[in-house]
Amino acid sequence: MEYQAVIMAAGRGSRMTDLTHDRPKCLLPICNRPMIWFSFKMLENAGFEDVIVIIHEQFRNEVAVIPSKYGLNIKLDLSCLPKNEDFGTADSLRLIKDKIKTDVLVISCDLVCDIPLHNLFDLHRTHQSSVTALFSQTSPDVISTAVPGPKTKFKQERDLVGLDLQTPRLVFLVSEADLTSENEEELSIRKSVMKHFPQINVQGNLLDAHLYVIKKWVCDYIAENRSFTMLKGEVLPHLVRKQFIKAPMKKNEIELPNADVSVVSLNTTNRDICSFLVNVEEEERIRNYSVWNDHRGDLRGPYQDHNIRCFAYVAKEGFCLRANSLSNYCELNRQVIKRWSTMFPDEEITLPVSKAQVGTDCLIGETTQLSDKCSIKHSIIGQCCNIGEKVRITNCIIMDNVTIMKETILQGSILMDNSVVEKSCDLKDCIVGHTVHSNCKSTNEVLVDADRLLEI
Amino acid sequence: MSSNKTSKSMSKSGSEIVKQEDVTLAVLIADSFSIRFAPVTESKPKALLPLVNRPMIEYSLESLLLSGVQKTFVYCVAHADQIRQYLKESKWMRSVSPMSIEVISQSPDDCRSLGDSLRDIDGKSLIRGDFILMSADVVSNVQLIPILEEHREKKKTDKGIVMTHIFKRSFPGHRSRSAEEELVLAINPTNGRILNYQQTTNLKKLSFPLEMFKENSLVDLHYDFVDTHISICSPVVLPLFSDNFDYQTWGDFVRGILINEEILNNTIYCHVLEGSYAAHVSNVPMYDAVSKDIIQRWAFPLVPDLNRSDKTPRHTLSRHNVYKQPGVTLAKESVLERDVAVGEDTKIGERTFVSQSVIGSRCTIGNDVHINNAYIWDDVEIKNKCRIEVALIADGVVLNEGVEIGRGCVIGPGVILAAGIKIPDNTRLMAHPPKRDNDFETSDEEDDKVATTPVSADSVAYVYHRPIEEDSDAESLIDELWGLDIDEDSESDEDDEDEAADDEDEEHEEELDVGDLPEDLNARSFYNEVLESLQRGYEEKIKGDNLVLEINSSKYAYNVTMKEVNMLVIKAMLSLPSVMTKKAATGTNDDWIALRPILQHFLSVLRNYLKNNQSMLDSLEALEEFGVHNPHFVKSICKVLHFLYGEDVLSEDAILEWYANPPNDPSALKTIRKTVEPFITWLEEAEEESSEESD
Repeated sequence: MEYQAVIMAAGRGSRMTDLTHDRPKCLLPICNRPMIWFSFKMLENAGFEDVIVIIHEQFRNEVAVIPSKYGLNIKLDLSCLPKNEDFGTADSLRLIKDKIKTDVLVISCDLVCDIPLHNLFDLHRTHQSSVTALFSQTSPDVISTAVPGPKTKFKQERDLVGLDLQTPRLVFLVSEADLTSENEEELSIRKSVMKHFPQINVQGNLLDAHLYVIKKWVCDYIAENRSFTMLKGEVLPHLVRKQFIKAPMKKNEIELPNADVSVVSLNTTNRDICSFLVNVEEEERIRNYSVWNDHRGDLRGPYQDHNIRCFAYVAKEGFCLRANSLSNYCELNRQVIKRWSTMFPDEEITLPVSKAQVGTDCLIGETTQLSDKCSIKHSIIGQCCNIGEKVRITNCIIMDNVTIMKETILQGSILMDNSVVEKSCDLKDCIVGHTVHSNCKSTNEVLVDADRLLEI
Repeated sequence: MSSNKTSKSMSKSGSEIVKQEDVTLAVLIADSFSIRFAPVTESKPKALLPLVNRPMIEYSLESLLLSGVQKTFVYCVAHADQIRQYLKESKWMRSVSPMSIEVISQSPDDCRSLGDSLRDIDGKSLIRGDFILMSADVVSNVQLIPILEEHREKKKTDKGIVMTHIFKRSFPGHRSRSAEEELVLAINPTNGRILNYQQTTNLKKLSFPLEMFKENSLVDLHYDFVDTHISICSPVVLPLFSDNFDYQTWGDFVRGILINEEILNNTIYCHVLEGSYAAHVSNVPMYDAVSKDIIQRWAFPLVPDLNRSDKTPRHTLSRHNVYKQPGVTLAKESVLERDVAVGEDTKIGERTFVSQSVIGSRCTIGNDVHINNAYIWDDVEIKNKCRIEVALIADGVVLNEGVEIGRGCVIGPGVILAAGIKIPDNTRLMAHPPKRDNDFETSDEEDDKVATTPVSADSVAYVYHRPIEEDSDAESLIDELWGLDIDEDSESDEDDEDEAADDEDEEHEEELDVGDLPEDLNARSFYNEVLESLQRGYEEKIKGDNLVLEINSSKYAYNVTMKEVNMLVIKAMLSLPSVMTKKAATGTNDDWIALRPILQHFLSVLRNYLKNNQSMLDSLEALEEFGVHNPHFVKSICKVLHFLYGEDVLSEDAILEWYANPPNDPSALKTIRKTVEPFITWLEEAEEESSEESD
């Protein structure tokens, strides 16, 4: 087993609270399948036989049945977090440190992507990368689409990713928000970094897939260093910066033999990152004998003689999007159904035959009843729904057990499980979580139970 | 042309533009407006300095001719008459010359920069169409016409294009990079537009405006570019210079254009050379690098054996890049090892070794001379057993027997050095005593003496001191690094260490100072905040009261106890010298010298916090803790105590009480308590005395 896979599925979906107050983000449906199914499917396609899933304990059983329910063979190793406690991704990794035996592939449950992972693994393997991150160039433009719920100024998070032009090295990684919040409004780079990487390509529109391949020693480092809570926000930028540090020359070997210092003290106080490095001697020797170099232009050795190396795999094609916000979630539903046949050729979906007008790019649960003369376009409808006569549905996501009575018009809305829309309603860009009485007209509103609202 | 002078505006002369586009124009600035080659350039213009036995201007004119330029304006400032005279006699002025040349001269008083010269050219309204702007110290084999076409092509889509500047790619550490002209360029990789330009020679950190990344989702940052000093300019460049009197250099211009981009909608593009050569002889190290490039044939066809000038004969090329003009006499056992060019009628003596050097015409070099990496111009006489390593020796120099010239020396024209003299590294000599400006009579007399006496009694040589320009000392330093083995790696090592330190800075700032900080995160943040406030307060001389307010607000923000405040404020003050200088305490008297003004400045702050006995005890405890963690500080502790006691910040009782109590850390007994012992006894005695007196 060369790599282990970890799915971070304990995210609360804090950017889409209207949908996630009663269920975790990883179980929200995308094209009538729970979000986490896409992670399982991707890993299974990549050849993984088992996966560690980090999840809040109250959802344990729900997640456990997903593979068998959808005919996947992947074995789950569920690691539970206590209820109502928030763990960052680095914290979660620290929690399962004893299970980590090799390099780790960490993915977030909200990622839907069809980029072949083996390219990423190849990159990681060839360069003995410390961390390899997946970026996508081809993320669809989400900003333009209308978002259900109250109108908010939605700002797509942007990162500035600095890549070396000659090698796939990650030279810097900063989120634009960080730079703006510091009121500096400028990006500063050390000149010595530019000496090592004289050509840096800075990309502002890359999508960070939050998919990382992490070396075992980095996991140990994270486990040891308790100040890290997030991979993306803290660990990755830290490692990217640490790339330029010169390793102390064989410090360990000199110190350890004559150390009267107890081993405990060495472990407890902040150990230097370099002491975690596991150098495979053989590889170093090969590199010394070889004339191979990853860059040209100076006389430095391969990888600029850096021991910590972060690489970025920038996917130029393929689909990749994260459901980390409401608009992305809606967009994902629309995009995935369009691309279903190419993304998941082995997973057949059948459209029910009925008298209703069902356009393309639609998905309708098998047990759903459609009445006459209703028209459905660009929408996804879950299981056991009941759709009345002359209902028009465009651009909607309708989950399970929803009842829509006759002559209702729905546009760009999300209808959650068990919600009911009575007759002759006209809802546009709404989120519905309970019963909407007849003749109701709303746009851009969240229509959920009053007591739930109180909770929020 | 005189009729055109009245119609300066672009619109009126529209028809002429079309006419002039047929003629490819170039402006050659035959002055670099710098003193990098002083004292050699005091009597000769830079453009006429020999570069591999040919005046430098020949290379640039040849480059222009090779790329198909039809008319060139040569703009001369310093020693304009010499350049005019030279060109008059050269092949360029003949009627058969394929490129016509017009010399424009201006007195150095009226023209002190590139900006001034372009303003002057604009005033003369000589140019209507796109033109090539080049410096006379450029050596290049670039075909400029295709780049000019590219510029015109871009003009069709981007009306605001004012300039296409030409860069050469060369990685850090390459010899053709001029340390003085390091730059970072941000370009848009899709169309080659320059988004940001910075000169980075003296910078450690480079900053780029975030705006740039917001507007351009793809930005390439290039540190591997070298400015070739060749640009293709739209005619608007000249009025732009005229409108902005503060544009002096090319850098000013680019920065100005980029800043006003949104208003004027002017854009600058870059062209990166692929496979052709271009270099700018900006200073002596670059002179060295370009000479080597010419000898090693990187600048082909600008090589010594294809010399087209009729005044100097061609070199013949032999193995290992050894070039000889006719009439060279080599005595037996003399060696021209490799990369050597020797001029006409030069005699080289027995057992003389020459490598990687250029020797001019009519030189006489004696026996057993060692010449390596040197540039020797015409009519130089070098007697037996001289040693020259990395040096530039101008016309007519005489080196008597056994002279040794250190690395990186520049020996001005006419210098005569007596036998056996050793010239230290990086010396610049000239044949006459330096002229004194009357304005600077205030300088030390001793200095004057040194400067006005020759290097030795029998020599005609005076040390040249470069006038210290404001804000350029760092630059000249770099310039003077010529010939010294600059260990690139050691330099970058340093950088790396700095960087590592910086990194630590960012993440655990406290580690830099002391290891004795409270575990509590709040107190830590508080400490950092206090440290920052104090540093700023000290640097900007903020009043104590305001600092107290600031510290108090931090106290509430981080919810720390009064005791912690007292202790941390003291600690922050004590660590301030090392934080500010980024150096750890040395354990010498210097620590105290650095610390004293700081404490003096913060006396009012201290008085505010140390009002009662308990707070004084806290501060003493802090002092002790600080001493335990900084062994070097121990030596200063006594002085600090004495100072604070003297200023009535700490009372006698508090100090004695502190001394009477056992220290928290037993190790302090041996060190700190011992050092302060004499002070305590002095205090006790003083107390006894005073009590006796009162009795």
